[in-house]
Amino acid sequence: MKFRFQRKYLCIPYFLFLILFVIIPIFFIIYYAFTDSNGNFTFDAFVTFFTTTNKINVLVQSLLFSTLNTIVCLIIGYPISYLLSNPKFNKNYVLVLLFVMPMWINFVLRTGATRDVLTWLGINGGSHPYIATMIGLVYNYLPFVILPLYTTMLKLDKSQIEAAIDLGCNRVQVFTKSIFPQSVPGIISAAQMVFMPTMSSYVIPETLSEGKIVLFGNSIYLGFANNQWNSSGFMAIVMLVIIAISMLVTRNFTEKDEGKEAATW
Amino acid sequence: MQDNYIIELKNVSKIYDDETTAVDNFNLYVRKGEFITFLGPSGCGKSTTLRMIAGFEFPSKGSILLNGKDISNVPPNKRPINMVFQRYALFPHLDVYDNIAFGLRLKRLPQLKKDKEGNPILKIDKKKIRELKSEYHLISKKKHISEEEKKAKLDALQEQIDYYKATPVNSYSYAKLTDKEIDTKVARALKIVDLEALEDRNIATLSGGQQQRVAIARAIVNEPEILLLDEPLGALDLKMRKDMQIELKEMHEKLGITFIYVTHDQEEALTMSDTIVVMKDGVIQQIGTPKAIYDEPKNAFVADFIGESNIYNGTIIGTKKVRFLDHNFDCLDDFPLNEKIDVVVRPEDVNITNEPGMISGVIDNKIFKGVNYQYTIMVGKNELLVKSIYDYEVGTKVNLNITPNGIHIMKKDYTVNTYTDSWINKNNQVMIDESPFDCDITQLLPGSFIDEEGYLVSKDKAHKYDLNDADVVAEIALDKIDVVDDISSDECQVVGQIVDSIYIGDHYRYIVRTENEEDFVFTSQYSYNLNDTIGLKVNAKDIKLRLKKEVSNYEI
Repeated sequence: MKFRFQRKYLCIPYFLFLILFVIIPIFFIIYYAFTDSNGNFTFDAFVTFFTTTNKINVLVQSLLFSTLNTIVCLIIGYPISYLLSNPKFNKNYVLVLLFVMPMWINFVLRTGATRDVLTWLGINGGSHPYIATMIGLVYNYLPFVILPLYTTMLKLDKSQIEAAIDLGCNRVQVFTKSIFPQSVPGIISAAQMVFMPTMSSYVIPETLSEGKIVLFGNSIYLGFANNQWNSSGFMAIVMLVIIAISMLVTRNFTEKDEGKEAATW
Repeated sequence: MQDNYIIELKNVSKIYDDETTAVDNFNLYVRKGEFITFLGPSGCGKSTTLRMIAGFEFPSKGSILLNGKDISNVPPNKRPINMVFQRYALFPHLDVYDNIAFGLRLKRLPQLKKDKEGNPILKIDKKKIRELKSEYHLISKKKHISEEEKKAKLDALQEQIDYYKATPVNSYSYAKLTDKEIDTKVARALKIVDLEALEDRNIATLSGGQQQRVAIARAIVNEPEILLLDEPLGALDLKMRKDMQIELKEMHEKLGITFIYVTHDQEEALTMSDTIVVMKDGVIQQIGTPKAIYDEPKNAFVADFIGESNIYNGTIIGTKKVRFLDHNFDCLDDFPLNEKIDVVVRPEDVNITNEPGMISGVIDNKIFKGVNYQYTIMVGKNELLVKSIYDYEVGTKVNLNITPNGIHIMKKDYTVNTYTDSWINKNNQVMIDESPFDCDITQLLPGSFIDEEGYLVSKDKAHKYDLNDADVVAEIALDKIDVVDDISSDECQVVGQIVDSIYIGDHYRYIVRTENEEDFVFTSQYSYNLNDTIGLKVNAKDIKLRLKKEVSNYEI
């Protein structure tokens, strides 16, 4: 039979990539999560995880850190993005670049520098592990909030704001009824880009709290490093499930709203 | 003051921070229920005027009265006026129903507060005082009104503030509209715009025409006293636009509210309006019914802008006799002998005849327009646009008649020299009256520059234009023409004879006529004699140019 090239063959490399680096690793994780060290099927890891207060504590602490980080980043990032996108206050792109620039520097280096600055300021990880970690997290993830919000707000139509005023809105109502609802897709994608990565972040708490704060990412890493393949595999699955849940929740939001492009930024 | 005026604009000017004047001394009185259209080319100030009526801009000078009350400095959300925006500006996060209900949900109905005995409760109206104070602040910052006027206005406001501070007035509680009331109103608005079936649809799934209807419904549902429409049909295709024009007109009749419509499309204006306001450079050129504006344009600009027209320089040579196109015509207007005037002839007022006619010409160009043919006929050196239902070949010599009532004569306005048949030569000079004038052609495209080959390059360097032979309208202000005494010098750009001189207060106004019968009007401090031959020069930067066609036609 003669070989005829079809366009769909172009997909093959990507499929291979997905299978090799995504699907098979997931199966490995599932395999380790539900076997013991001899390779026999067991629910041990499952039972241990949900009965060990230590591990549950780490999970809860990570969720709290992630939530708090997301909220703080949004509170700081939203007004900044609004001002940056408003030509009245910002006439060129340079300011935006300045805010986003830290993103382009390797974040291990950046975190090391942050630690030194914080120590110099007297907020060292030894005495203030929570504050230091929080500052580090916010500093690291702020650009990921500003960029999607900025792009969403650039698209805000000035005449829509005028239309809202024309229809009777006062200044506060213009924000609550027109600007805010329209920036929701940006807020969601910003939250997505902060919440999950914070949970699994490992370098920032490790460096800034001098090992005093263990987030979920640290604990998975430690497990693998200590050859606890089975319990760590199960924790990785918990992580995957949380990611899946958060994706489902936010997808419901974005589907309701137009402006999906902004959400997929 | 007459009561039937719903809105009055008195001496309204808008001057921006960079001292550019968008609207200059605008006076307009609109009757209740009228359909009024602001018509003009882009940048003529029509949208700015509309935005001042809406409240998005506050006038720098003058006042806007609504039902006799000054609303010049009242913010848009406090005016009973709604606007339909150019690009609809619908809220994408809301569906059709919620978009329309948006204004209704914000509405609060005042209800008189009463005590147990049923007497109204009196209170100091703090809200009113706040509003007056913000207006006070706004007026105190205005730069363009005289000190006395400002003081008078501020004093009046202060008086009001003091009054409200001292006197308790009826107080009100505010109630929202009930869901049922909103439902009924939205349903009625949807019915008016013919969209009953689509109330649950998402905005993004609607076609342009449907979005347009939602935008109109969203405005009229608030029962405004005036509906403002800012080029609302600009984004629709031709067929849709025609349909919407008729529908808008019907809506206007049904609703009975005042419509103020802004467009640059003269046909749209003629079709829909009761009254048209033609504007140019922030100044009203003419106000009148569509028929009056079409039949009796006040000046060459209006004639040129409204419909197709032939405009010539003419001279009055006797009682109701005018000379143009090298022929003496009878006309209906009486002007002083020897006065130089503008003559307007509509293409449909010229008859092509096989018999000997008044003038004759050669057909240069023919376009089939559906109901008739449009011919460009060369009469001597002049082009004449003619419409006829009969078919003639290009190159045929034809005889032409123009009846007296087809000839409209307009006094030349000497505010500016306008040369409607100029063109750009290959050296990027403008040709006026066969003489080249240096000029700045980069003004035709903001931010552009000229490259070394002499082509015009746009600001972003993406487009290049060859303006050689481009037809332009050149304008030179009267005070920008200088006299050169030595007519043989290089400086001298054009030579002519003084045919008219008037002393106006502190200066003279001269009309210089060249050999080719072109007039240059200028003002000067110095005295020259009638029939003197003098030379004139103009600085390159003082020649204002406007392309007759879109600049994109010259792109290379």
